[in-house]
Formats: sequence, structure tokens, C-alpha cells
Amino acid sequence: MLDWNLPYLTEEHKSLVGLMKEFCQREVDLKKLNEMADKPIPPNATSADLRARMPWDLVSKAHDAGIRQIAAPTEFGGGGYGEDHLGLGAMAETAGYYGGHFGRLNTITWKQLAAFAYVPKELAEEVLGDFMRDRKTMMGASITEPNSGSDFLLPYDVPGAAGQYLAHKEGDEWVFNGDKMFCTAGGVSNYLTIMARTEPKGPLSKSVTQFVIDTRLPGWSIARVNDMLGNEIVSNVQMHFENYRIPDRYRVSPVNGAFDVMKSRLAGKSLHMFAHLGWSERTWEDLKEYAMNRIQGGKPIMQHNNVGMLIAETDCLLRLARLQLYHDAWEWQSLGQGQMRDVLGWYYINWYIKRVFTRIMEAGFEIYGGMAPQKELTFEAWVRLHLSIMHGGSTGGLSLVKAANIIAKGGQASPPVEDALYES
Amino acid sequence: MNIVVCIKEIFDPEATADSFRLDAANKTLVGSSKVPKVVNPFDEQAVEAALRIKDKMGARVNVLSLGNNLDRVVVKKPVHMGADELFLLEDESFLGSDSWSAAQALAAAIRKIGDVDLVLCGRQAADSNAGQTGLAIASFLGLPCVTVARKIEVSGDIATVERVIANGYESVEVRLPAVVTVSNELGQARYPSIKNIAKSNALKPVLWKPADIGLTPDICGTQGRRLLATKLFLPVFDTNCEIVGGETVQEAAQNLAVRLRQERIL
Repeated sequence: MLDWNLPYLTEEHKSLVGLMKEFCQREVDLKKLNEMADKPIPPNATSADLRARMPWDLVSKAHDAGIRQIAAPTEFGGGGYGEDHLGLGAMAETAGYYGGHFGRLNTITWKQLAAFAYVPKELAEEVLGDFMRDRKTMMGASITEPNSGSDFLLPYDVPGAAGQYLAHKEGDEWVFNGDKMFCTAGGVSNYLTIMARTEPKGPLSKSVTQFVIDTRLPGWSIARVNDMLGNEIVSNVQMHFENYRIPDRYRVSPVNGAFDVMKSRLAGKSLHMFAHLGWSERTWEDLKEYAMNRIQGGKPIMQHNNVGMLIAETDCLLRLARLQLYHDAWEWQSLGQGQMRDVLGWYYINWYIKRVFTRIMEAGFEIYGGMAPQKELTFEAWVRLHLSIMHGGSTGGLSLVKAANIIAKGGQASPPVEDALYES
Repeated sequence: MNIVVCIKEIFDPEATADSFRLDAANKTLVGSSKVPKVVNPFDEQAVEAALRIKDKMGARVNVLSLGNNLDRVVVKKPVHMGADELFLLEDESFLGSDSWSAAQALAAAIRKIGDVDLVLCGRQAADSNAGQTGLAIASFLGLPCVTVARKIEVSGDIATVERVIANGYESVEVRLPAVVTVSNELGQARYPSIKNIAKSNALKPVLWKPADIGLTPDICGTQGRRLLATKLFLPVFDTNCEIVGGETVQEAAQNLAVRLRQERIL
């Protein structure tokens, strides 16, 4: 059971947590969600196939409860919590704890909705109006490309490197040609926000524009489904653009100025970490229960020193990871990103939290033994998901490279690149 | 239509047994500080019943609770669901209430709220499971009481209540004002609304102490109890494993039968 007596959270946050907990306990069938995510994906799956894998009934109920759209601005029918990183983080953690996959099912959309506080009003009205009416769609994002995956956003800002030329302007339209590589929820979303290099030779920080794209327009297709070790229910696709055209009003940021806009926004990846933290805490509790109840040598294995030590170690790691996440969210929210005292926070979280989850995984295999890979345990589903998102928010190692880059500059990030990397 | 719903803050029934410590000397159960509090689930259904009446014919729904240092996240939940006002009887002297002393204070508060047409309570609290408070409130107020409702419809000054009985339900009519206790058969309570959660920061509950409702501390809480606990203990279940053997399977079976007979099990 999660302890919500955290000094970072207000009464309002705790009420939101209560709502999420109640919703998950009433509506989420963990076993069913795991089975849905585990369903094989046909090699040439279409968007219709991918949509058929989705728990739309659950998504629609979350919509009716106001949970799905909580991060959208109130003027467009949302809950208005897009800037409340602590509130959304606590809800994400709760959803992960009580709902497993349901956690990321929310955070994938929340991260995008929060950004609509900054897009031109006309575009927000159009896209969010459509989103609010349609209870059976997601909203995703895409950054990576075939030749620049987790390394799309390098800390070096070398001219012409990383993301490649994707979109150019013709009259009042932007024309896209090329591919986006790992797009979570790309096959089940009507709208996606994407980062596109619009200046071929410049450094990335001055060459990328952010757009909203409508996946129902001609020229957009699924090049392939990325069938992963641990698939998420929302699936993951490579998108192909061929003479795909959108009007200029679908542009979110100034031309070549995506990073200038992004730096002031909510740290979306951190929301995913909250969701994954919740599921990990639940996984740890299951592990502890097993250790308390499994008898070997006349006593529960929890009383065997090697097992007890692993349980205590992973408890400690999880507690620290949780504090780190909440502290970072609090600092972000209360001081503002540009004012953050610890600009290294996210990079260390992204590295450390993955180490923590990996250590829990190791402990799980030690403690469950032969039971560990059995599908009857939710541990198995958690392990697969963990492995498949190890790269998220750039790899842990790359985060340390970025951190080192900042340390070398005397501990100060130099906007806009590092700020934007936070968002990546 | 003026409705008062009485709610009780209890430890989350989801909490595991090891979250609690039995204080035998004081005959009470002490929950760890990490165990969250929740609204008694039956009381949530009473709130839902009130809100259904409000949806249908318009009503003012007042929520009333009793205790000390009540968790605002818990007691505001009915407001997040759609109730209008929150009254809290908060004082140290309210601690340790039994059904009698709680009902006495709640009834006094209901009198003070005034012009109440309908009082709703959960059928029982999920911690004590006594099921007495609603009836006792009715008694203190001199009102009729219908228990274990699964549906309430109001027309004029008559409430038609379907109450759960062993083999189904019976429909009874009661003249208002009245007290009705609500059962889980009413159906699930609605979710709190995010809009109401955001709004409720501004909501200031009405706070009353014993003197505000015309009571003195010596008849509230522990001091006003009519229920005397004589002993609080955890039942002990001893198990002994005895292997009944024999030279052959048949002999072992015979010995087992004899043993079971000796213990008067067979």
C-alpha cells in the first residue's frame, strides 16, 4: 500500500490519487490488460488491427471519469492539470500501482495534452475538440528516426547530425517525406505531435519544428509494427510519410524553434517514470509477500538472510527513486524549469531509476526462482515492459553523458538544448 | 428539499491485518499512521442516494461527520461527488464515540442545521459493523426510520423506500422528515468529479464543537458511551498435526477412524 503522507502533495493531489485508486480498483482488470498486451501482433498489422487490441471500454470509462483528459486545459474541456506535475505524477504512480499497463495508457496521452496549453488556440480547439468528442482515440508523439533513435537528441548539437530533414514548406503547407521510427501509440492515435527537422544543415537546436499531425490524412501510413519483447497495449509503429501535407496552422512551434517552446513545458518522460514506479512498487510488494509466505528450511524465505537482504535493498532503492522523482517534480513545479536548482535531476533520475528497476528484476529472479518467468505472475509482464522501455527518455548511459556535459560547463545547463533534452 | 448525509471516516478496509495493533488495555485497535482513512463505503452509498434525489428533483445535500482532526481529503470526498456543504463536529471530546454518543451529537447537529427533510446514513460502518447510529439518530430526533434501503424516491412529503429483506425487497412509504439507512444494493456510488476536486480548495467546512450544538463534553465521545467493552482480543487458533499411522494402509485408516471417533468428530 502506497504511503501518501508525502510533504510534496497537497490535499487536492491526494484527492486526485483517491479518484485514480478507486477507478483502477473498480475498472481495471490487470490480468486482462496483461493478456491484451501479450496478444501476438500480425506482421503486417494495420491501424485497424492495432486499434482492435485496445481496451477502448476502459479508455472510454476513464474519459467519462475525466481522467483521460485531465491534463488538457480547462477551456477545451480538460481538467486543467497539465502544469501540475506533482498531481499528474502522483496519479500516474497510482495508476501504475493499481493498474499496471493502465499507468502508461494515461501518461502517453497526458504528456501530449499538457502541451496544448501552448499551441495556437485555433489548432487546440480543432484537435482537442475532436479528442474530447472521440472517446476511442489516443494521442501520441514521435521523435526518433531510422538513423537516430534514442540518440535523436545528442548533447553535442553538431550541425546536420541526428534527426534528418523531414519536412519542407510549400506555400501554406508543410510537406513530409520520410519515416519516424519508434512511435508509441502511433497506430491507435488520430493525432500525434512530432519533431521534424525543417532545416537540413543546422544544429538540431535551431533546425527542428514541432507539428501536430493527423494520421487520417493521405500520405501517412504504418511502415511496420515494431513487435517488441514486451509490447504495450497501445503498440509501437514506424510511420511513413509520403508527400504527406498539412496546413501551416498545424505547426506548434516557431519554424526551427521547437526547443525554444519545449523548454518551458512539463517533463513528460518523468510522468512515464511515475507510472512505471507505481507498477514496480506493486511488483516489489508481491515479491515481499512471496518471501513472507514461501516456507523453506522450516521458515519463510524472508528470514533467510540472502532473501531478506534483497527485499530490504530493493525497498530502499525504490524509496530513494520515489523521493528523487517527487523532489524533481516539486522543484520543476514550484521553481520553474529555468529556475531549477538541480539541472542534473532528470538525467540522474533517468539513469538511476532504470538501475533500480533492473535490480528489482534481478532480485525477483533470485527470490521467485523458477517461478519468475511464469506468466501467472504479474512479475513476468512487468519484466518484459521494463526491458522494452529501458531506452525511454534516451538510454540511461546517454543521460549520464548529457549530465557530464553539463558538469563540464560548471554545472549549468545552456538553454535551449539541454532544457529540450529534458523533454526528450 | 434539504438532505443531511452522515458519514464516518474509517481505516481503509483494504489495509492488511498487520497494519493494526491491538491495544488490549484500552480495548481498542490502533492503526499504523500509514494506513489511509476512507469514507465508510456504506456512507458513500448514502451520499449517492442523496445525489440521485438531487439529480432528479433538486436538493441541497449537506454532509455531516464527527471526530477529531478529520482527514480533509476523506471528508471532502462527498463534496467532490457533488454534495453542497460540509459540517464537521470536530473536537477531542468526540473521540471514542459509540453509536449512542455519536448519534446524540449528530442529531444535535442536524437540529442545528434545521429544516431537514431527509437524513441518510450508511446501513452500518465497515469498522464496527454495529448498524445502530442511523436508528439512534431517528430516535433522538423523534423521526421515523427505514433501514437497509436499496432505492429511495421522493414525491411531495412522502419517500418511497425499497428496503432489502432476506428474499428480495419490500417497498415502504414514510412521511418526511425521516431517517433512512442505505445499503450497498443501491449500486455503485459515482466517482468524485475532477472539476469538484479543483473547486473544493475554496470550500471551508462548517466546524462545530460540543457547545455549538448544545452539548457538553461530558456526554460526548468516550464519556457519553453506553456500550461497555469488556475485552478485546485476537482469537487464537491452535493447530496440532498428528500423524496417524499403521502397518498397512487399512490399519492406518482404521486407526484414523478410531482417533476421529475419540475426538467425537465422527
